[in-house]
Amino acid sequence: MNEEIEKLNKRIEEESKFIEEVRNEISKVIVGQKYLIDRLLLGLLANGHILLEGVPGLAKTLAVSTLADIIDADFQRIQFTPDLLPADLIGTLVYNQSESSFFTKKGPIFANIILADEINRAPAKVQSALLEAMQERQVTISENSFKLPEPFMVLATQNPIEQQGTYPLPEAQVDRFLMKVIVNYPKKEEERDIIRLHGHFDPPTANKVVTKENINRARQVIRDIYVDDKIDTYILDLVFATRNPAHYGLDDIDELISYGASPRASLNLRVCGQAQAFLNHRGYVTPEDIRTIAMDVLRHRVIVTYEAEAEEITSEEIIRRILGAVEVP
Amino acid sequence: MLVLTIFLILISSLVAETTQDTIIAEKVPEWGNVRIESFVAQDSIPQNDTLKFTVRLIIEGNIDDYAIADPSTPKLSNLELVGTSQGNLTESSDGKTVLIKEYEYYFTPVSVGMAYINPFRINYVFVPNGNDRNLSTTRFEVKVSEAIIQEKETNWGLIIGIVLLASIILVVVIILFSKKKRTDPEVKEIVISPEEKTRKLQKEIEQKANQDPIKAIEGLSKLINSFIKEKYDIDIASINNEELAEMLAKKGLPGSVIKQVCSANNQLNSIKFAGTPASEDDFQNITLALETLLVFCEKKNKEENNE
Repeated sequence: MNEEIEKLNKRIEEESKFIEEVRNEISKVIVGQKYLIDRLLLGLLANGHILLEGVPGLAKTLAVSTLADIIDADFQRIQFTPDLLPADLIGTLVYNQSESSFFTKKGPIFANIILADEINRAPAKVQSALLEAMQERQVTISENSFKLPEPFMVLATQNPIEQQGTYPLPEAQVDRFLMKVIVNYPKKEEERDIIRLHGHFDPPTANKVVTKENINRARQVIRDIYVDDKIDTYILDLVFATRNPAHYGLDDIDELISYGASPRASLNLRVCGQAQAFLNHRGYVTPEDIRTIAMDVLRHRVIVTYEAEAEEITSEEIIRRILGAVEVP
Repeated sequence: MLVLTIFLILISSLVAETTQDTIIAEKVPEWGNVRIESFVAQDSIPQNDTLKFTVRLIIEGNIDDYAIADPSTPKLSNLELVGTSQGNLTESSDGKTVLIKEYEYYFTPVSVGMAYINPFRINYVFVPNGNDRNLSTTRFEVKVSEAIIQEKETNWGLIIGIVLLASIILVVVIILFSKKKRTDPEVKEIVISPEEKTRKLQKEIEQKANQDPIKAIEGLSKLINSFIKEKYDIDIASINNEELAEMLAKKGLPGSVIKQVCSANNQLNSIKFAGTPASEDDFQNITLALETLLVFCEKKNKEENNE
C-alpha cells in the first residue's frame, strides 16, 4: 500500500473513532434500523440532505432527533402543514415599536439539523424556500443574507400513503437531496426488542458524544479519500446508463426511462462513496462502496415513463438492472 | 191372412235388424277409439347397457278426428334419458284403418340396483265432440346389474402393421446414424470442473506474470471473482470483506481459507483502487490464496465423490 494511503488510513482511524460511539449511543434508543442510521451518518459526513420515506411509526423522527442529541448541535423539528408560510420557516422582519425599527426574527431553519416532517404537506412556496436554503446554505430575509450554521443538514420525511391533500415534490427539487432513503419495517426480533425497550415510562436517551468539530474534521478527511480513475469511470458508467441504457446492452429499459440521473448524481455518488469508505475505515473507494449507496443516490433521480408506471416498473428496478449490467472494475 | 201375417213378421224383423244396427253404431265411445300400449325391451340390464322403452298409441278410425298432444317426459328413477325417437305406422285390417303412433325412449342406468319408469300421460282431444282424455302408461321396474366389460377383439393386423413400420424406421435410423458416425470425428462430452478451468487459466496468468505483473494481478482478481461466483454464487464485487467472510462461512469453508481469501481480496482492492504498486509478494500472496481455495474445493469434491 502506498504511503499516502497509509497516512490517510491512520487519519481515518483517528477521525472515525466517534462513528462507533455514535452507533453505540443510537443503539441505546433505536433498535435495529442499521441501514437508516448508516444513511443518516453518510448524509452527515457527505454534507448532504436526506429525504426519508416510510410509513408512520418506523422511528424516522426518533432516529433523526437521537442523531441530533448525540451531536452537540442545534436541532429543529418543523411540521409541514398546508397553511405553513415561507416566513414561518426562514424568518421575517418584525417591527420593534420601542426602537421604531425593524429587526430580523430568524426562523427555525437556523439550526444544525432540521427535521422537515412530512415535507409534502406544505405548499410549493414553502418547499421552494426550504430547498433553496438547502442548496445555497444561506437565507435572505428582506435585503439581508444570512449564512446557515455549519454543519447544516435537512432530513425531510414523507409518507408514501395518504397522498390526498399533499403537494408532491417537483423532480428538480428532489434532485437536491443527496439520498432518498426508504425506511422499512423492522424484523420481528427487532420489534420484540422495541416493545421491551420502549414499553416503560422512562424512554431511553442518548448522550452527546460528537462535537461539530468532529464532523467538520471528518468531512475534511472524506474529501481526501482516494478515488481511482477506475471508480470514476464506474460512476460515470452507472450514471450514463440511466441516460443511454442501450449503450450498456439494456435496450429493453430504454423506453422506461423518461429522464436519467443528472451530473449532480455523479458528484453525489462520488462523495457518498468516499463517505462510505470512511465508515469502513478505508482510505480509498472500492466499487462495493459505490454499489452500496447507488440505489439511495439514484432512485429519486431516475424518472420513469408513463409506460413504466403502467407496467408498475419502479426506478429501483431500473437501477437494479443497471447495477447488474454495468461492468464492475 | 197368413200371407199378410208372414209379410208383417218379415217387415218387423227387418225393422228390428235396422234398429239393432243403429244401437251398435251408437256404441262408439265419446272419446273415440284410442288405446295405449307400453313395454320395455328387457326387465334387467347391465349398468353399461341401454334400455329401450316403447309407448304406442293405437288409433282406429279417422286420424283427423284426434288431436294428440306431445307426450310428457317420463319420470325416472335410477335411469337417465339418453335419446328419443318417434314414428307413425298405418295398417288396415277388416276394412278398418288403424294408425299406430310409436314413441321410443332410450335410458342408461345410473347405478346398480332397481330402476323405475313411472307412469306418464298422453293427452288427446276427440275433435267431433271436443272431449279430451288422458291415457297413462304402466309403471315398469328394471333390475340393473354390474357392468359387463366386453373384451375387445385384438386387431392383430394393426399391431403387425405398427411393429413392421417401427422396425423399418429403426433400421433406417441405425443406417443413417452409422453413416454419420463414419464421416464425423468422434465427439466426446468433456466436463470441466470450475477448479480445473481455474487452474488452467491460473497457469496461463502465471506464465505471463513476469512481463506485466499488474495485468497478471488483475487477471488473478478476475479469476478469483469468477471462481467464487461459479462455485458459490457470490458476487465479490458487490459485497464488502465482512459480508464475503460471512457468506463463505455459510457455504462451509473453514476459517483459515476464508481468512486467506478475504486478505487476498483486500490486497487486490488496494492494488486496483488505492493506486498501490503491485509487488512480487502481492502476486505470490494472491496466488497462494487462490491455491488454498482450489485445494480445499478439490479435496471436498473428492470426498463427495467417494461418498
